[in-house]
Amino acid sequence: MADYRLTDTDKFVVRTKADPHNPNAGEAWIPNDPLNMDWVEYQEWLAEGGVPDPYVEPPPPPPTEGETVAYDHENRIRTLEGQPPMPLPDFMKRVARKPIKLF
Amino acid sequence: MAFDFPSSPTEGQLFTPSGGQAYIYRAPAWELVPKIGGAPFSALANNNIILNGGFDFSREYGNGITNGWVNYTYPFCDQWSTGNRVATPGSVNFSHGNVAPPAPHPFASAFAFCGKSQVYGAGTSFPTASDYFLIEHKIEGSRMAPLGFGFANAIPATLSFWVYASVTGTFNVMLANYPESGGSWRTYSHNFTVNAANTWEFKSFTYPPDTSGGITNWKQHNVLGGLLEFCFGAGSGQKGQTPDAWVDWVTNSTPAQSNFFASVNNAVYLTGVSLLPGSVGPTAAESLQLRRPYAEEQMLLQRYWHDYWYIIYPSSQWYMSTQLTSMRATPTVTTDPAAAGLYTGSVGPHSFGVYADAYGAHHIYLNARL
Repeated sequence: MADYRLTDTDKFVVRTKADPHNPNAGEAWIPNDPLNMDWVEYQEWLAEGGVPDPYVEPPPPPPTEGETVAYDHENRIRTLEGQPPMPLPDFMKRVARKPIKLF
Repeated sequence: MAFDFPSSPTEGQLFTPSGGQAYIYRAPAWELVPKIGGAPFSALANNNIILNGGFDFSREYGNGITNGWVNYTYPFCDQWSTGNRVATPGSVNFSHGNVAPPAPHPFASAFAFCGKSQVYGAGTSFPTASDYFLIEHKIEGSRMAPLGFGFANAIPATLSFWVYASVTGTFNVMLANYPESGGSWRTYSHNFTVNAANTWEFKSFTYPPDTSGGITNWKQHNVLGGLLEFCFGAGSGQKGQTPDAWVDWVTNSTPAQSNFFASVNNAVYLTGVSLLPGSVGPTAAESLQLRRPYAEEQMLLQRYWHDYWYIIYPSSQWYMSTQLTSMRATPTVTTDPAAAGLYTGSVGPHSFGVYADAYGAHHIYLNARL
């Protein structure tokens, strides 16, 4: 595993290497800002031949309580209509939640 | 009217002749104490270029770093970091701690904390020529700007601090720039002496202005503009710097550099660090007043590093906040513990938002350090 991983946007890169003095810290989201020293360090790492890991699509989030209620409701209607129940993954695709990009 | 100055004055002694203005003795002569609009000396604290000079804040690493003497730079206290290169790392802890030795210390309760570096294992003789041991303070260009360095009308800068070391010796404090591409390194190294072991000593020195090179050499905006580096040990190849002159950056210390970390339990403590525009610094007694209010200091530090607690409940929520203090640059976002399903944060110098699937409480760090 490389020290960094790409994201689905060029606005960020994720630093995956651990901080030996802060083992509880998670991955660091480094913004594409030439004034950010972590970004500067990433650029230096690239210049030295570093290759980041590719972007990995995160697994779909588990359904929320509301989505579970809606899913059960959908299948009750389908049962009344004489249709087979819809698989949960298909339902989640239809109601897919996507993070809002604010900036 | 003639003044009858006291004979055999001591360093820092004040004298106010009847009907006259105050004078202070700074060997070898008496100097007029500048009037500062009637403001108390503590008002000068806002002019202190150094942040966290009293080492009151160590927000990221708490009480410090165990065995931080490695080839990394770590902010063991806010704005203070290790700056070392050692081929064979020794065993040194860097910490933020109470000012304990000696009791009572000469600055009463004015400085409750200090930055400590202490050998807990084998010491070192800096066997590799390129080794060095630094305590480093990075200064944003906008904080260096009042000095006007790089220009003909630049003014001096006066450094003051308290130091405590378990051994006597000579150490070097370098004031340096961090030039733009195409600029030149400019450094001024001055040697200080620890005269007595295990004793808090007050030190002061005025760096003359560097009057050429403009902003190519001395950047004045929200980037690294200056460095203040305390060197407490160096290999033979790191002692080539000419003291008391503005010169290129050749090495990290001067030929007079001593090794303060030769043996187990050797320690160096620093506190009360100030760098004031001008040639007048505080006396030992005045240094106790040169402190910004705690809350103000904290706000200034939040420009470089800040943390929040946020709660994702139920799962799949945005957490958004606006920083009370605009950060120096767009910060790096880290969570503790690692937030499973943390999506792209939307982050800027003034606000941030993160989106997480994992429900629970998360500690988020925003890092825009120099």
